[in-house]
Amino acid sequence: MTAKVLIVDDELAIRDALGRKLRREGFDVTLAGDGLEGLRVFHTERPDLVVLDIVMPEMSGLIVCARIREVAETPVMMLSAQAVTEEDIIEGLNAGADEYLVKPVRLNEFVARIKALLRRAQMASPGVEAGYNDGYLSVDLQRRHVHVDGQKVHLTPTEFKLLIVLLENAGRVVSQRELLEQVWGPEYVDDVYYPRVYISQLRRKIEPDPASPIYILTEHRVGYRFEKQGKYSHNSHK
Amino acid sequence: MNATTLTLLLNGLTLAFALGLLVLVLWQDSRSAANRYFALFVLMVAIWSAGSLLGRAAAYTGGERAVIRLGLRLLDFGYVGSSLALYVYAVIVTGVRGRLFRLVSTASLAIILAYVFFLVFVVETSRPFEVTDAGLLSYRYGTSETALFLALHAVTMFIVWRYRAKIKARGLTVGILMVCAGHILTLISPRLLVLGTAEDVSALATLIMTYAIVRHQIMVPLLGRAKQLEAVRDVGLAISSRLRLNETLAAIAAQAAGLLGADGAAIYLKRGDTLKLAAVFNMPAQFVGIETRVGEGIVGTVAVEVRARRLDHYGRDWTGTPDLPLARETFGAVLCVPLVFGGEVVGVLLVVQGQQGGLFDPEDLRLLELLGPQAAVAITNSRLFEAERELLTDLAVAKRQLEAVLTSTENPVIAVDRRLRVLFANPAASTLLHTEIDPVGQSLTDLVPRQFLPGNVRTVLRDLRSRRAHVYEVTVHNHTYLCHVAGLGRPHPEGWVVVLNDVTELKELDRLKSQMIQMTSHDLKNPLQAAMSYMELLIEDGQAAFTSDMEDYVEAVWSQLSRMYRLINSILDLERAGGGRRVSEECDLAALLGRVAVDMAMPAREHHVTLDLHIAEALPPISGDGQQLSQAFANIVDNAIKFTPAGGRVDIYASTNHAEVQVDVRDTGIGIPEDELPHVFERFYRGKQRAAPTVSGSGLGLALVKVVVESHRGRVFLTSAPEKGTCVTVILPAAAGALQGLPDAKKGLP
Repeated sequence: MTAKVLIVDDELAIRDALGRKLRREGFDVTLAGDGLEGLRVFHTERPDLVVLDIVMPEMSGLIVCARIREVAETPVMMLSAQAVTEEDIIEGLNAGADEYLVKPVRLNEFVARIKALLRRAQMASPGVEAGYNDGYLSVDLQRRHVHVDGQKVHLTPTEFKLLIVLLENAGRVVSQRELLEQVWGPEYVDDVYYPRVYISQLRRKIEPDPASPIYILTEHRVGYRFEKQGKYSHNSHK
Repeated sequence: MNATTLTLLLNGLTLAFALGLLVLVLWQDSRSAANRYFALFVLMVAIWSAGSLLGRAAAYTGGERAVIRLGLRLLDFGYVGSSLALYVYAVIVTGVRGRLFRLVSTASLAIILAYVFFLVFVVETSRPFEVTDAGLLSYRYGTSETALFLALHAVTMFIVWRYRAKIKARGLTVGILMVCAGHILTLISPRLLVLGTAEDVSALATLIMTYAIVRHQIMVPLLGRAKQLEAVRDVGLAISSRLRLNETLAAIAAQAAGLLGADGAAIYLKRGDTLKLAAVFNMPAQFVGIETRVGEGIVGTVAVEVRARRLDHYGRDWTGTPDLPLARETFGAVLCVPLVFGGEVVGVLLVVQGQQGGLFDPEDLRLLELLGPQAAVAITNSRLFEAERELLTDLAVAKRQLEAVLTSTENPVIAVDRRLRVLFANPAASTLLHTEIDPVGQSLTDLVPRQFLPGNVRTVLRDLRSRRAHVYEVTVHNHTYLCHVAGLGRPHPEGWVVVLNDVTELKELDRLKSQMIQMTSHDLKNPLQAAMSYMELLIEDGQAAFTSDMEDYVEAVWSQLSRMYRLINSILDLERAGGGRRVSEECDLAALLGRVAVDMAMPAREHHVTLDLHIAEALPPISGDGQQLSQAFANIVDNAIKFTPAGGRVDIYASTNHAEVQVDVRDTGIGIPEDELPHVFERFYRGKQRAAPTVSGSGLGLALVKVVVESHRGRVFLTSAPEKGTCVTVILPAAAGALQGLPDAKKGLP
């Protein structure tokens, strides 16, 4: 199957060059020159993956990303020339991006990351059978649905993958390196701030109190551990 | 007749009385030359009178001519002797004698006496005489004798009259003048000679003189004790009532001069090897400040000998360097005493008479020696006081200067005591505190909102202990201040002082710089992204069609684009390391170095350089930003590889003493010339690289290393020998918890 990729960048030369490379790799590519156009194209074309420049006239990539997140869990790759500090990158990830690349990026790496991101989004998790349900948090693997206290929450593909990896290893400590390898892919092992950012994002979505987590616990200096909760441990009922 | 007998009787009695008093004087002070000569004079007068008495009595009673002759011989002897003795005595008491006077006078006196003795007793040429009808003895002097004695007495009178000011006892002057006048009268008038007027007058004068001497040498000093006590008391008063040394000394000088009736006085102060004239009385004021070396002049000599000196005539008796300008020409008698305190000479007191002034006697010397210690105490006291006041003045000046500096500085400065009460706040601080009232004495916690004080007191104390200063940032009224806290008082802290630096502008500049860098990098990166992407597409598409020349061109363009890419990334890395919040996590340095070694293995192989990592022991964790540290170590290793010729080695060594971790990166490369060593950590610095002209780089690699290492409170330094290699050493402190954690970790081992 041919994956459809939307590239939103105000620099014609960049979106053209990246588009050509992706077409050459067999992707179906759509281009957009600014944020608004990008959103419009997103709604009409329903791409499998969006590449977003951050600094754009009219509407910044961060806003575009947030708008997309309101309606879909489509993987989003941020592409920025602006990024200087880790905070900038984290800000991008917090807006809902799954990936953050800093310009200039080499074409081969760009393609590899696109592929990895698509793989992460589409890959079903084979190890876990039934999912998880303790009355407060429920995870439906087949339909990729997550409910918290009866409410459906939207998780990005990366967040969902992260939750599944932790669930598979419930009760056991998963190291940062393991997480990077299993969630993002072996080429990401040095991007150590990815798990930190996504864990906090995930906690914000599923923990009753993100400041004192009960599901996803931090094992200092080692990694993270998912702790299953008893049915009665929350005052909520179905 | 009766009158004559009576006169003679009176004569005898007067003489006896005078002799009695003379004994008293000699007993009191026989060492004085004047007294000895006076004694001689009185003896001679006695002999003279005795001879006269004998002769006249014999003549009067019609006695033997031989007896009269004997009387006349005694009379002659006494007459000559007394005349000479009187002359010598007059010269001594007026102090007009020359330098060889004593020798000459004694010798001539001896010769003359011997001659007269010879004439009178041995040759027995008797003076012709006759006895008058009235029984009076009549005799005559020869013309030459008369002239000689007239001259002698005239000279004696002249000396005494001319220098009468030098003789303190007025009776003495009167006596001498009386004797001389008597002599002269009898020499002129034979009638008086026959009557023996000279003897009568002399006897009376002798009595007067003796009385004057006794009065002057014994009674006056005794009566003067009270005066001395008064003088000492006055000096004491001068000491206690005047605080300035110069005033005290001037008062002492005036006291000394007044006490001795001297014309002038001066006080020298001894400091080290010089004597400085500090105060004068009745002397030119411009003399003050004149310096004399110890050992020079009479004051210098006195300071060395620590013994008083008394001169009758300075110009004549002092052969050394003159003490003051015109001293030789103007000084008469001089008295000079050392001022001693605690066994040490602190100064010299010099009292002088003018050339026309009187002489000093031993009594004056004693009096001065009595004043001396008082003056010395005064000098020492005043010096101590002066020194203390000088110290206080210096302190006050220093305080004023410090206050001026603190007041005028725009940086707020606040000092507080241990209980945070304000001890000092400069105007800038008061403005900042918005306090209308004087903040001194108030508690800082009342004046300043809590958030402006350092958050964690324990951190502050630890910083003060280890680094002597704690720095934190505070934002007040849109101004950002960097607060430097330092301890006040050592070794025991009495409080703290806070200096605030307004860094608002710097912060703004820094922000603008960061913004500038971000924008620049953005504007540079977009074209670069496009250019690189199209180049990659071109390379992919053109592979078949390219000639080898074209491939070279493409290669060249690609390498330039890569260089630009690296340069922009280096600038951004540096910006990221220098500014922004630092991520703080516990880093496993061994693993980090392992990854660096793996990453750099590829470039090392390309350069045909062997890269090895040596970690001998377990390293404690480091608290910091692992990514930045990796980047820093990668830069070091990358540099080492670049500057090491093919076949060389690059070795990474890591070791620890548990408080710190040391990482050495050694290479066998081309090394760095010594003159370039201080610059290698500067931004955009690239050495001349004579041996490696082909190596490319941004000149930012080591700058980043320095920024990263220092932001981790570490140190980095570099040693190098050209042609031998370079060693970059990085020392990082272990994470705070690492030390405590260590024993537990060991316990946990099986």
